[in-house]
Amino acid sequence: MIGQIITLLGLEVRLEFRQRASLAGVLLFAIGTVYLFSLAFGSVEPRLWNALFWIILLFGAVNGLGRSFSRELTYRYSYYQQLTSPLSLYVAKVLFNTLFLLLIGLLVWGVLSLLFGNPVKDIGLFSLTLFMASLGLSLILTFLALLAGRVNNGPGIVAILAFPVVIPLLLTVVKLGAVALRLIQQTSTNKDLLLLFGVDLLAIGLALLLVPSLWKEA
Amino acid sequence: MKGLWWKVLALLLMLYVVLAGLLIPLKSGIQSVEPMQLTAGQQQTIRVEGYNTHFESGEEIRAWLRLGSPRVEGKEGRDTAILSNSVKVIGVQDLSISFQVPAYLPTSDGAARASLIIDNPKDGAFVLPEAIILKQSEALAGPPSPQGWSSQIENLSASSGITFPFRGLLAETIRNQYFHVSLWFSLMILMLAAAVYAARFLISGRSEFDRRSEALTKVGLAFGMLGLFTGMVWANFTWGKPWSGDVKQNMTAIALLIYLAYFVLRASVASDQQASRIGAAYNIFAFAMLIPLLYIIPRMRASLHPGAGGNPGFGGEDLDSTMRMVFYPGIIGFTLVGLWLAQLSWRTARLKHKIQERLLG
Repeated sequence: MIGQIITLLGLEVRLEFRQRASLAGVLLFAIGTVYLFSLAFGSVEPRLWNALFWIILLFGAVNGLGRSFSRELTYRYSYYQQLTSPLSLYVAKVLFNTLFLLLIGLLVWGVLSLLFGNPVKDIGLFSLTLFMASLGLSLILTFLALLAGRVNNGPGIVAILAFPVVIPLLLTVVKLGAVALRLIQQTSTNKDLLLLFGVDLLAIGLALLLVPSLWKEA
Repeated sequence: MKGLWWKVLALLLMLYVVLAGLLIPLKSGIQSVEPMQLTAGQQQTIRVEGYNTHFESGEEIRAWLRLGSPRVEGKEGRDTAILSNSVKVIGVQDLSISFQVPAYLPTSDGAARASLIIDNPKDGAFVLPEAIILKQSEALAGPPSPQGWSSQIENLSASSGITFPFRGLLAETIRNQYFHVSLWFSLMILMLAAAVYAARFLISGRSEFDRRSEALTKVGLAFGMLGLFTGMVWANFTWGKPWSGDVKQNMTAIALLIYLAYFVLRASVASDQQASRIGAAYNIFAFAMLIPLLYIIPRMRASLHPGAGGNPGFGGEDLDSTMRMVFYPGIIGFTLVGLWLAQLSWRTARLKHKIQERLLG
C-alpha cells in the first residue's frame, strides 16, 4: 500500500513536471490576480492582504484540484482499477495536491510580499496555518473531484459542492492568518488550530469510508 | 388499515401542539419598573407594569425587594428583604408600590441589586430579578447594618391554571420553542435516517434504499428551511434583526447549501445508477458536515444563540414541565409528519420507477 502510494505520488510529480499545465495555469491565475490588485489598489493594507492571500489560495485550489481525476476516470480507468487500490490512488492525489497548494501558497506569499510588503509577524503560525489549510483543502477538494469526476460539467460541479464545505475552513484560516499578522489579539488560537485539525480528520475518515464505494463502479 | 395509526397520531400531535402551544397563556410577570434606582433611608414609590396580571385590590397584594446574598466586610450575608408598606392598584396591569427603605444597606459595597417579588392571590407570585439598584445615601453615610432587612418572604400564593413561563426578553415568542426547536430536532432525525439509508444503499445496492434516502433528504431540507425561517422570526424579536450574521445562522445557511448541492449533484449525473451511488456517498458526507456546522463550530465562537458560544442551552428554568408537555410531543409530531411526507415521496418515486421499467419492457 505505502509502496503503491509512493509510486503513484512519484508518477503525479513527474507528469506535472512534464506537462506543467495545471501548475502553470494556477500560478498564472494567482500572479495575475495579485498584479491586478496592485494596479487597482496601489498599496494593500494588512487586513486586505490577509483576505487576498486566502481567497487566491481557495480559488487556485478549486481551479487546480477540481480536475484531479480527469486522467484516471477516462481512458485509463480500467487500467488503474486492475493495478491499484482506490485508497492508495486517493492518498497519493491528496499528498500531491497538498504539496501543490503549499507551493502555490508560498509563491503567492512571495509575490504579495514583493508587491505590497510582508505584514506577517508570526511566521511560524502563518506557515502552520498555510500547511493545515493546504491539507484540508486538498483532502476535501480531492474527494469532491472524485465525486464530480463522472458528472457532466465536472469542474463546475466541484465549485458548487466545494464552496459551502470550504467556507468554515476558510473562516478559521482567515482568522488564524489575522492572528499571525497581529491584526487581532486572540487567545483561542489553539482552539482554532484544533478545529482545523478536526476538519482534516473528519475529511480523512469520510474518505476512507466513501472513496472505495465511489470508485467501485464505472 | 395497517400503517394508518401513526399518521393519525401525527395529525393529533400536530393539532395538539399548535392549539396548546398558541392558546395556553403566559404566566404573570413584571414587564417594567420605574424608577430603577432607589436611595436608602427614604419612603420610595415605584411604578410597576405587569404582564398578564389581574390586579384588583391593593390590600391583598404584597411586594418585596430582596437583596441576593449581600456582602458585609467580605463575608456572605443571609438573604435579606423588605416588605412593601402600601400597594395601590392603578389598572389590572399597573401598580404603584411604596417601600420604606432602611437608612443603611446590609452590604458594605455602597449599592446593591434587588429583585422585585410581587405576590397576588389571583396570579401567584412572580419575580423580576435585579429589578432595582439600591444606593446608600451619601448624607447618611455609615456602617452597613442588617437592621430593618429581616422581612420573611412567605405564604406565597400559587397561580391557578396552566401557563407557560414569562421571560422578559422572550415574552410571547417563548412559544417558538415548540416550532423552531422541534423542527431542528426532527430534522436531525430525518437527516440521520437519510444517511443511514444512503449507507445501506452503498452496502446492498438496493435502489429502494436510495429512493428513501433521497425522499428523507428532501423533507429534511424543507424542515431546515422552515427551521431557519422560524429562527429568523425569533431573532427579529430577541436579537433585533432577522439576520445578524451570527455564527449559528451562517453555519446553518452553509449546511443547507451543502444539502442543496446534493440535489444539484444528483441532477447532473446522466445515468440513474451513478446518480444513486454518487448521491448516497455525498449524502453521508453532508451529514458528517452537518454535525460540526450546527453543533461544534457555533460552540467555539461568540454567538447570540442559546447553546452556542458558551451560552447555556435553552433548558433549566426556561423550559419548565408545562413547556415540556408541548415541546416533546412537538418533536414527535414533526418527525412523524416528516416521515409521512418522505414516505409519500418515495412511494411516488417507486411507482415512477415501475412504470419506467414496464415501458422499457
